[in-house]
Amino acid sequence: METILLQTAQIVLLVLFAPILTGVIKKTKALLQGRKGPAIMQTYYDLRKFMRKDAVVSKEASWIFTATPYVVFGATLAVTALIPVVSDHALLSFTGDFVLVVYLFALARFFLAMSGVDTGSSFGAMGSSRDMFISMLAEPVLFITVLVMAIPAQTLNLSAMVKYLATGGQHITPAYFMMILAFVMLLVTETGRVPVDNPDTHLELTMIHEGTLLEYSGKQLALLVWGSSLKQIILFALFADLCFPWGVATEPGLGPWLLGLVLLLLKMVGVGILLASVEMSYAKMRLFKVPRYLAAAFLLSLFALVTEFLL
Amino acid sequence: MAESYRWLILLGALGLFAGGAASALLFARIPKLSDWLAHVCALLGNVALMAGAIIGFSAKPGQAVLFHGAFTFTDIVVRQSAFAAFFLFMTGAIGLLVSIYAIGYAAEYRGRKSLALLNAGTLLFLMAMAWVVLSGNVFTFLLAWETMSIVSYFLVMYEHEQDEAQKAGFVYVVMTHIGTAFLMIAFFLLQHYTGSFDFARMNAANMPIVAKSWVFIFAFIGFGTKAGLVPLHIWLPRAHPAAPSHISALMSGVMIKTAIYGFLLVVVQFLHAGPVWWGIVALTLGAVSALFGVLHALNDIDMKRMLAYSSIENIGLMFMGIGTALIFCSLRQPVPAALALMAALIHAMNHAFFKSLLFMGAGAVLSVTHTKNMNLLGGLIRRMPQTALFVLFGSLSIAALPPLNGFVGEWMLFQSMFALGFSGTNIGLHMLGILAVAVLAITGALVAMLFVRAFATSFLALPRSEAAEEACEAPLTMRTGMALATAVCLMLGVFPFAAFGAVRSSIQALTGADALAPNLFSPLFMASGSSKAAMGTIAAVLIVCSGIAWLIARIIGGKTKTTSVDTWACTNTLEPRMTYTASGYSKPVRVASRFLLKPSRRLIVDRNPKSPYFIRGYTYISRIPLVVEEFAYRPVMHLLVAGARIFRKIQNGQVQSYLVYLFATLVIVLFFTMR
Repeated sequence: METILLQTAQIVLLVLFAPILTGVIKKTKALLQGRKGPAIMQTYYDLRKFMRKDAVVSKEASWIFTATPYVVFGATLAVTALIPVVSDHALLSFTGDFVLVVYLFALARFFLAMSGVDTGSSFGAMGSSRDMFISMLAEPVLFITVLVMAIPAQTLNLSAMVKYLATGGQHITPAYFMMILAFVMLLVTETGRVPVDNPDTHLELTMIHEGTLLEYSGKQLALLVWGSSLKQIILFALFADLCFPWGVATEPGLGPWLLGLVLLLLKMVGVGILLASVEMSYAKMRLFKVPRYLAAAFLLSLFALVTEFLL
Repeated sequence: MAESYRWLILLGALGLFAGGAASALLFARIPKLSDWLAHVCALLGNVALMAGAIIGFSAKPGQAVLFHGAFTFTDIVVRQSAFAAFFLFMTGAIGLLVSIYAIGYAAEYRGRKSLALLNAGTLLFLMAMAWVVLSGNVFTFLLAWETMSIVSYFLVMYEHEQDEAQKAGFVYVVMTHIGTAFLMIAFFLLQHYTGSFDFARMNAANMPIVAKSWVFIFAFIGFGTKAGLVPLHIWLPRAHPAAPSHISALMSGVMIKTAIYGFLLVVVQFLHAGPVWWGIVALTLGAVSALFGVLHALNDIDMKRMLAYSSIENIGLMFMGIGTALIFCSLRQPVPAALALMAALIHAMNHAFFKSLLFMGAGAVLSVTHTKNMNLLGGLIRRMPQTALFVLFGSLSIAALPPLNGFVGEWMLFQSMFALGFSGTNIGLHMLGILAVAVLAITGALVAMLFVRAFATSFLALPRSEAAEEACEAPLTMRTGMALATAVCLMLGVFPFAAFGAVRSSIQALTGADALAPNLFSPLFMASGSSKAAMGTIAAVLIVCSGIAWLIARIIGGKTKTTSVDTWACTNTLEPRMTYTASGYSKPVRVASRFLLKPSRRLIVDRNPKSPYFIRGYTYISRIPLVVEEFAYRPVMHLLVAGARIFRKIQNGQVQSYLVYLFATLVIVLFFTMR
């Protein structure tokens, strides 16, 4: 009973903490740029504001446009039940659940991409086309990167993988460092940050993810913004648990869990600050440079695997 | 009890198909009666096929001689096993859906073409496909195989007045016969070493490895041609779109799967797998087909051709599964082999359903708009709401998104590739598994893009042509066929165990291991017990989570209003020509895969003769060269033609010289036989 409660608490925690993380990244960026920046809780205020506003919907849009926010948020929320966050237990876990995680993200992306085209606006369609394009390049990297950790653990179950790593499984290898680098490159891509995408603007030169949200307003916009920050925190949690599994609660009970929670929050804020500084240090690259960038990440994780097999 | 009924039902189904075809042609002068007879026979026959298959799942393999030929090897022998039952069930189920759909779809040709011919062809095609799977010896098999090829050739040529169909038919008939020739060689080799033409006695366990490998190569070429594997695929993207849509659905859904059946029969059942390189070849060519198919599909604006290319991609995925299974068989690891084989077969079944659903959807669009060009469609979701819903579900399935059936097969394929990556015996096999995972991942994401593109550019935004503007909903029978297919996709997605049970016993017979064995429930494959309900759980969780999303928004924000306005188009009014087309949607992929596809484009600017600054219009032509045709087939064709020129010299038209040839041949033959 207690475990189930704690696992549910994990989900609630992720959902509630997701906007703060976005706020932390924005604040860090602003400070690095010498600006004051928005409040850390600003994303919350925005969400509440969006939720209360009346929506304006295009005449051309169909029911898909209306359904998308719920599907996107729902699918992302379902992922939170599948991944180990604070402890090495997810609420629902089975073998190969990692494949399901990837495909649930794909489900969200599929609907988002459709709604981008739905209004007939070229901005949305362009964003949708680019979003699908970049995801096509990022998906293999995601699989191979996680495989780097799955091979020594001899399992594909995320919970079992984290358990293996957290209980002193083989960890500090050359492969590990390559994987961390590849994973950071992937995080940048998947959360739509510079140098791949720019999260702060809707300009057509930079729009990938934001382009698909362009036509949304009101409650639906709120859900989509929240959904994308939720996706971000899920990826951060995966990154933290797979690469820095120290302090993940492997014992049942409240004590270890709370310790794990504190450490996890610290780790995530750390990753957020890291990504913000990455964003600050680069200019956005051209869309057609992205394949090279992701190919580099892919090769990195492949090399990591090769070293793993050879050493 | 069921044993005796089994043959009755199955042969009854075949008889219904044949009889239906005959009576449709017989009463061709009375269109109403002819159609009615054909449709009723099709429905009944398919139901009978399914019933026979369901009995066959649990029954022991049986064999019966239908007809004694002049020699023993020309007996017509039918054989039934659990493995065949799986494919029979697929044929019957898809056949049933497509037959319902065809009642409405065929009406489109009324008054233009002979409906009796089309209906009879469809029935014979169904009969031939079922018969291929039921064959019990080489002669029967090849007879059925050729019947299937010829009938489908005529169906591809049904609209023979169109250029597309003529070219497609020619390429198809040539390729399919080349394929059959290789199959014959493979079977004769098998007979030479096993001493029997009978499938039940074709056990090639004691064959020398070299001969086995030759059989493998010939079978691979022969069945690969029918399956549409790259580089033997060249007929598929031509023939599938040219045929009437419900025939395309049958060809993609069932016909190319008979090749999978035959391949497994020869390579796994008769040869019991061989050296590791067989599996590597199958896996590699499967991966190449998957990537090639999906990249070409992404750059095609013809809805049906895109679906045909997507079939190549899916066949590639199946061959990746089969290749993995063969590798594991060679490594003497039956358990993961069983899993990989199961992945391939489950994917074959799922593909049959969602691909025929999508072809039916494309046919519905085609029948109301009379265009297959996705750039000219758009906005159909308002005009054909139900068709749009079905096509959406088909697209979600084929993009392997949970909780639909495509995901199940994809997930199992991933699992078997992972297994190869984990338990490869040397680093080469390890890396092969890992790269296969990468290919699967890329393909999966590309397919998602492909079907967002297909659905969004045809059904969403604004109609980009008159035809799309005036579209209306498809007739009831067509919608019924699609609705049933959609329901099956959902069912197989949420309760995949129904399908697992159907292939379990036959996989056990083929590989000697249970694909759902308890030792598979190790951490590598499945968590204990939860996998049974896993997909159902996921579906439920998704619904609950979407509900939670709605609730959260409702609780925090209270009730809000929605106003609808025009889409913002930078202060212009939004015109259809501003909306994104299918060509534009896949541009990034075209650019990124330039080194592979070598696309070319031409921009023709039509300027006003009075002033070059006023432009009357642009024409944009984008072309993707057919690499395989140009680099592999053309040189061979040139060689053949050149060779034929040399041999033409002996064709001089004089009877005397021909008599000399006859005599010389006779002398040579006698010389060899009298030695």
